[in-house]
Amino acid sequence: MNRRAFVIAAGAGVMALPFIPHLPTAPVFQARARTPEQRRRRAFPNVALLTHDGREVHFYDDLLKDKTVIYHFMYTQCRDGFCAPTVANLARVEKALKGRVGRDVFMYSITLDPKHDTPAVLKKYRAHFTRNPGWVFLTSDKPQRIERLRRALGYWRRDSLQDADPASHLGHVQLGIEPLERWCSAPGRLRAGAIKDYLCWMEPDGERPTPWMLADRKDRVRTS
Amino acid sequence: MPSRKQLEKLTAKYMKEIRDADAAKLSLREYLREGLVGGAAGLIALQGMRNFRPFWAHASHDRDGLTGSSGTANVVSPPNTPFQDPLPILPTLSQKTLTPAPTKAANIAAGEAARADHQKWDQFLPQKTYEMEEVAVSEQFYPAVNGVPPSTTWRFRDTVNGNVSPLVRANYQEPIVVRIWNRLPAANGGFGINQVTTHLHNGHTASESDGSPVDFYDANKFKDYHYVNMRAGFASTHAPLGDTRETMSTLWFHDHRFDFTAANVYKGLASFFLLFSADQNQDTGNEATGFRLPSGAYDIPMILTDKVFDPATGQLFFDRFNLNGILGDKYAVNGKIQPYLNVYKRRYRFRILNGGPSRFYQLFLSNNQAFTQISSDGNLLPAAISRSSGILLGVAERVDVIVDFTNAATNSRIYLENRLQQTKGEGPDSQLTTPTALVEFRVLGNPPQADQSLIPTTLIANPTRPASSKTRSFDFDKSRDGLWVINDQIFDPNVISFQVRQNATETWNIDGHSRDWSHPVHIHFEEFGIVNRNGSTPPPEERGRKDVVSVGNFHGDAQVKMQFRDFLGHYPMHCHNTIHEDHHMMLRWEIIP
Repeated sequence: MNRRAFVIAAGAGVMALPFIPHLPTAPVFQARARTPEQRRRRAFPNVALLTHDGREVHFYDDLLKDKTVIYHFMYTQCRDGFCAPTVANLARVEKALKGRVGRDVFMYSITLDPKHDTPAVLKKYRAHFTRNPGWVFLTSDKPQRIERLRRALGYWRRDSLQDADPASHLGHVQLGIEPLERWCSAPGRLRAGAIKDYLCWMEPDGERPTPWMLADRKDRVRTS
Repeated sequence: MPSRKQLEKLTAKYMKEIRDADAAKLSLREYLREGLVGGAAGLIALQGMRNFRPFWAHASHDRDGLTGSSGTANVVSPPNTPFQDPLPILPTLSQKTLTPAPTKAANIAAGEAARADHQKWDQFLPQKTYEMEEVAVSEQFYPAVNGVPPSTTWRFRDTVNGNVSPLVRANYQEPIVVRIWNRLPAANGGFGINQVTTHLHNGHTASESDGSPVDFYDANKFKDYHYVNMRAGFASTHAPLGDTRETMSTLWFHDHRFDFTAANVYKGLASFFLLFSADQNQDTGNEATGFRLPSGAYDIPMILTDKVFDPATGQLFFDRFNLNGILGDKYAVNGKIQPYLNVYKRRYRFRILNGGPSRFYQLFLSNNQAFTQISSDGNLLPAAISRSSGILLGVAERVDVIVDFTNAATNSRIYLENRLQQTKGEGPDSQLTTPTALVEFRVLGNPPQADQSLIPTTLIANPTRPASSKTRSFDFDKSRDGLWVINDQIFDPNVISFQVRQNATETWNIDGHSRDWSHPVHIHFEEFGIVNRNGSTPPPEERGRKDVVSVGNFHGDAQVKMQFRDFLGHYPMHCHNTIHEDHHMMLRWEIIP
């Protein structure tokens, strides 16, 4: 429908329905209290996953709770051109974080293809990018757990054909400070330094952007 | 197996080729066939190929839900009883002498956030000063009868009297400073961040006071926002007063911290900024003078927002994982769900703002009476337009309307309604649906004093813009990896995408690319004129001055023309569906000498 047709429909299509106000029949609401700890836990499925070392971990309890994290989805056989570059880019983020990964920042690469990406496969793949124990690759022997996680974390598309097409999986990484419930996302293909900034600028005592100044304009402008 | 170094090289090469292929608009299949991806063989060689059949290939996809189908359970708010509470009337921010006094350079020692010096400070020393603080407050959206507890929201508060969500009333040729303290807690109740930058939407404002997305500051700091309240052209084409055809009326301010704008504004960091033009006898704020628009108690700003409340706790809920757009199932106006407003039999000016985050509205009056539209995006039109088939309002758009209740029956009820169907966060459907009442008008009777307002036949003529020296094109699209992009670029907070010359005139082509979504595109700094809509003259309601233009979906594309006068600095352009904005549909540009 073009705009004009839409506007015409807007004028002609709707009858002036008499408005019948609702009667106050709704039962009085009974609020359930929830502590911040309960709210934090409810925000993520606490599914059991396997690390690249074959260790069983729970997504919330072991990987997120009280931590600053970066996570994303990938799979080793990705042919679309986003997964390996993103993982390679995260290796640059790891470097840019200057030793923080494994100490107070943790990185998680979660496979979308758990049938193929067994712990052994992930371990081999991971070795190309990092040796840091603070960067964990994750899979499961129960694919439905990964599927549950993927959907709960918003890594899905509305279009079911696209959603089913591995070449169309979403390319953002989530950055979070779990105890503060601060979560944002950055594109996985963004410059690694900028991904690091996205994370560090969120931290209460973290780095901050340099304000724009007239005087040093020439030094700061970088056109893309 | 390639070594790590080789792999990095391959990856870099690979990414470049992908960008090239995307730029050339090659499909994935085409570019694999073309064998462009030299690195792909190496990468795929990591594990070797085998029959690939992903386990999720046949997974069912989510139903559309009220929160825009996040993949989490669809959240349905507790029920509300409509029209129990009166429409809150936003209080006016009080003047206050600031201690310490505002200064041209940031007063770091006193707790001011770092910023560039105020431009044109000495010419426009503040004549009035104000102070607000951003704080967590307990706010009751529901009527008491429903038993839903108040939510914790973040609001602006007047430091003189504690009034919450004050609006600013300012006058042309009266420079002001608004000091805004960040007093927000680190605990966010589940969403938002206590780092802020307040954007005056549609303000002709110097960059350092514009509230740019990267210029955020932390709790227990303040920033002095210097609003010169001068018309565009005051230091260039129309010195010294500016072009009187650039007079603006209804602006608003809201938080703009990048990646958190949707959450912080949804939490309540938004209000109005009304700019009066008694100096030119235009929009005077007095219905006996100037354009004689309904004024005082009969001039009522309304911010429309749709919200979701947690069905267990009753608390305001925000889906952090949503990339499509967030739709609420409860409609709050000025902070109350479906309020009522007592009106007299006379004319009213309603300044209606779509406060987002993602919903579009097609506004009607329930008796099908026409609105008299006098502004687009808060800029008075050359002449009033009668709108009988509804007013489409995208996110961040404003419309000033005059509604005449003179002939309404005493004790009758008339409703401000939304009839636009929207089932997904990306944008509205191309059809209308059962009306939802937003505000109930209760007609009391004759006003205590006679209505002195008029519906003027002519208001403010459109400015004539010089021929443009440059044309740029922007494609608001979704990338192959599912992110909202402009010209396939994702927002990088360290990058200025391009520069424009101060006082230049440019033409920008804005394309929404697809019918699958709407992008209400907002350009900071100077309002623009839509010179072309889908290859022809825009409809009458889009022929005035605008600062938001919707593209994609049934809107199509648009060509806009604007100037970059008087100030220097960096400004963003972005989609104002704040979920799209936060998921990287933004860029910054800069005005240079």
